[in-house]
Amino acid sequence: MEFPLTYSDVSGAMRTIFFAVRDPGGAPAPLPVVVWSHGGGSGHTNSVTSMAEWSLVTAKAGYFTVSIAHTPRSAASQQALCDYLQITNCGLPTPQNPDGFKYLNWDRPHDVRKVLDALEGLNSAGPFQGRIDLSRIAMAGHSGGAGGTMMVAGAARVHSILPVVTDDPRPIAFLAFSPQGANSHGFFETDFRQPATSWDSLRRPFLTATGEGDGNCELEEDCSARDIPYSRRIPFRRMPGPDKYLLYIRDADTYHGLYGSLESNCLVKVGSLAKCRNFVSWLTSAALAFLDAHLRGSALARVWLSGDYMAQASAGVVEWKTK
Amino acid sequence: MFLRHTILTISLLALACSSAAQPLYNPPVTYPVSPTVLMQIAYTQPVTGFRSIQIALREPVGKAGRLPVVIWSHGGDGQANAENALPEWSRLTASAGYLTVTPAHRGRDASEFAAYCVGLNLSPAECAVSLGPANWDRPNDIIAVMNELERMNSTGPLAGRIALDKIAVGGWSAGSAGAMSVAGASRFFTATQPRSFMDPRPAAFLALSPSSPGRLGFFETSHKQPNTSWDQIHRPLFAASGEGDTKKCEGLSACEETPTRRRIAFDRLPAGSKYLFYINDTDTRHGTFSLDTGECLADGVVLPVKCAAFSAWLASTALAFLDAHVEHRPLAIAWLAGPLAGLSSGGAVEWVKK
Repeated sequence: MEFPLTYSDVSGAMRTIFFAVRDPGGAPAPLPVVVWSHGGGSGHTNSVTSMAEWSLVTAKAGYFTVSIAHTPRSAASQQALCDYLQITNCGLPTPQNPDGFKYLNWDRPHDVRKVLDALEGLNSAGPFQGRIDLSRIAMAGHSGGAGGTMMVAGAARVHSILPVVTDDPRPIAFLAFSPQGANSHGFFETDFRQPATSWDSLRRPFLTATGEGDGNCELEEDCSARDIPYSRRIPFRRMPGPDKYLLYIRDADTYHGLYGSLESNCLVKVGSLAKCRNFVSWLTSAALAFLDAHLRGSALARVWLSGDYMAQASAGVVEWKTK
Repeated sequence: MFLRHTILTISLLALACSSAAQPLYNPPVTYPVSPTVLMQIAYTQPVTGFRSIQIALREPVGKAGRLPVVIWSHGGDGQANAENALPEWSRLTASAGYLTVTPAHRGRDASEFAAYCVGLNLSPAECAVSLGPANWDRPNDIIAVMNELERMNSTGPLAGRIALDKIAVGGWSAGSAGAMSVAGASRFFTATQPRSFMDPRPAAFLALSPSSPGRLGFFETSHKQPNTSWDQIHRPLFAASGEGDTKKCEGLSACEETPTRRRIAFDRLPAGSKYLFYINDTDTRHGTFSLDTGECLADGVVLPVKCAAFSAWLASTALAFLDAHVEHRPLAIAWLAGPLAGLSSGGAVEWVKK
């Protein structure tokens, strides 16, 4: 079921986004919630197809699942946002934004906040009344959506000059697939006399997942402001414990899209159905264990998370770190 | 946080008050350093032809027997005067008993630059945006220095005195990339395929402020590409960086290099005699790892005793590494194996071995 949602953004313009809900029928209410935020820089208009694979996984596991389509902005709307943020060369490459300012990096956490507000409304009246456990919400995303997820968790990010924090206190756990590292798209780390990093304030449980093929930079390129597999591990390295987890697939057959769309297109990219299914099973298993541990309070899931089961199950292909 | 600062302060005070009280590694003997001898060496590169550079030799005066060697590769732009290339590191290793050779990686004039472009089969436009000859010349210069050492060991005043089986190569910043290249790192100089300058002669390597993947031709894995630049580095290597070891930051999130990106070079090294020395203090700067305290002291915001402490921790641990892996000294081997590199800094240094 898809819902439109309109709100007034910082520039005063009206912004309409869409979100889809998947209610696992038969599961006892109130249900814990997972909110999914997609990646990409150009936006989606169809929330039903946004993060659809992951959304089905969590809905089937008994989570009230919400999938957001972060809608594109028109050129005029982008310019209005840039004017508000005092970004003078909107859309043009800058040291901070080598691909130009990506307006969705700003919009995602604001969209999420409005969707969480809307969930409160859905839970108070209508077909989902009383079905949603607003005290047990997880926020999740892939790529740009992982960046938005980190922001909702409290990560500071630079859009123009100064870092901003766009956190929301309502989610109690977070999942970031293919997140950005330091020096990428406004996330930062230490420098001389500058001890802060983007991730210092991430105190809530957090699962990060990436792997050997999860880059977006050509081999011979200057990738200092782009993401490569090990730079995506930096958020995990920099965020404070406890309840932090890293899943890293040590197989270069993985690819960026795998972490967002799971098996879709995997066979074409990887060439082995068995391998694709392994990748997907490792990712979904870890994500569900994380959700069950931190949203449902499952002791069994906690034991699984704290053990070395993932490395065993993957015959050592998956590196599983906790702190 | 308070506890860490307290420990650091106590450590700094201890360092200031008594050089004998803290457990820094010291080489068994220190030597006076000879006056610097400047020499010109010429060689022919396999791709880009004739090149001549200046090298500086510093000898530990009075050391008997065959001399182990450290070759230092400087960072930054080309230099013509070898005496000014990494002088602090060069004097340190010479005083610790190593014949120290420091090349000046001279910049190329227009015709030499053109020869580089032609040699790598790059059009002028491609060449202008390529890594450039400074990165190409460093490993070639280092190899030429080792060839020269072989010649010097066969004739002249140092004949028979150079321990050619005890050579270490170190570098800072872009110089660390040169050292890594000689250790076996492969790098993209053109878009076609990575190149390696691996040379079998050095026994150990030091990479101070190493480059991260995606910089200076270094790379890591990507889809269907399981290799990284560092896969073939199997000899001992000491890497050092710290929380302030950035480069050319234009704002918080726009740097050429950042601290944990630099650590990736260590993370990607195969295990076996690999060490990471990482100062968890944002009073460090890029220049801290060149041992030149000038940058640390420049704006007066960091206490001189702290700048001196950074240098002392780094110098001590680097000498322990050299004494362990070049000289095979049991005390140095034991020191490296233990936690003293971290403890001697009051916990400010993260000491990682693999």
